[in-house]
Amino acid sequence: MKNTVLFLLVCGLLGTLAYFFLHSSREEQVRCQLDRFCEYVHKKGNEPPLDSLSRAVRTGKLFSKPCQVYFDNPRVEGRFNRKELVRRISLARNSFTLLTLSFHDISIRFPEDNRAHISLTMRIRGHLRGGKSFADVRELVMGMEQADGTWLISLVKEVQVLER
Amino acid sequence: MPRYTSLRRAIIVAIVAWIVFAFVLPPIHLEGHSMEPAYHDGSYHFYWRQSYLFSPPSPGDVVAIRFAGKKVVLLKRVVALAGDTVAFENGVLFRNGYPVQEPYVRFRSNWNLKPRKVRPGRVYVVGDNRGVPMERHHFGQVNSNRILGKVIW
Repeated sequence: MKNTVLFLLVCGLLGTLAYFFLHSSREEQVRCQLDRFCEYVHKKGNEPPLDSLSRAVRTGKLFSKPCQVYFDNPRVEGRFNRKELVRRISLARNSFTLLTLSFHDISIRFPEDNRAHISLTMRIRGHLRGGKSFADVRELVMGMEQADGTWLISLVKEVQVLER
Repeated sequence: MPRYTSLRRAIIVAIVAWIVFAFVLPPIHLEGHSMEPAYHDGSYHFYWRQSYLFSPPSPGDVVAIRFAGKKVVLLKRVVALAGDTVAFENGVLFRNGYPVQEPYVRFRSNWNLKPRKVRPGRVYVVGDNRGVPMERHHFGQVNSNRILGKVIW
């Protein structure tokens, strides 16, 4: 009897540990992808064209095919393939000489095993080609899906905090 | 023995400071020019978390507005409350059809915005620096539950 109770307790403990380990590892993977996105978008000084291209290709690989994007200002709405997303991100990066993207207050939920729902604050700081400084903050909802073990961004949606 | 007393005091001071600056009077490091000239880029301020526990924000209050969390907040001035009508005509703010005296606004440009009503549970906020084009300025009605407190210093 004692052995059975002990066995059940050990099983319960191992199950709990496994749940927390898997859960935290999933969350770590999602956070890691978000960090990568910030790293690839980051720009400092005169960037060689080959470096820009390499960053653009790596950025594209973070998105699912297709990815849904909804922004209020500038108005962007629809489903985009990787090529189109990379083109738009590269265009945006090219208008900056210095660019830093960071994510704050990240909260991650897993409604399903291979789907993540992320809420965060995105902050962009930099210098435009004209020399003007630029700063912007947006609240975003992001969706990520796991495909072949990799978490890919499938949804980026701006949350309207201020409505004119 | 005195060593332990100093240590105990340091711990108490640290705990009190953490409670005050995390829950009562959080500090803000301002980045951006949208609240100039009253609040400058790079300056430090504090907001009072308990300001609106028993009363709603008033027009003229400068408030901290949260995004997804509390690490990055927006500083804006309340210009109208729920039920009010807001409009801009040639850079002048109109509330309920009447022009509003705004001594804190020094830089104006030709802002024009058709009248709109502030929905229930919301307040209308605008930055003090109206010298930038309207499209580049974040303003509008915000849900009251996003307001974290009143900027007091």
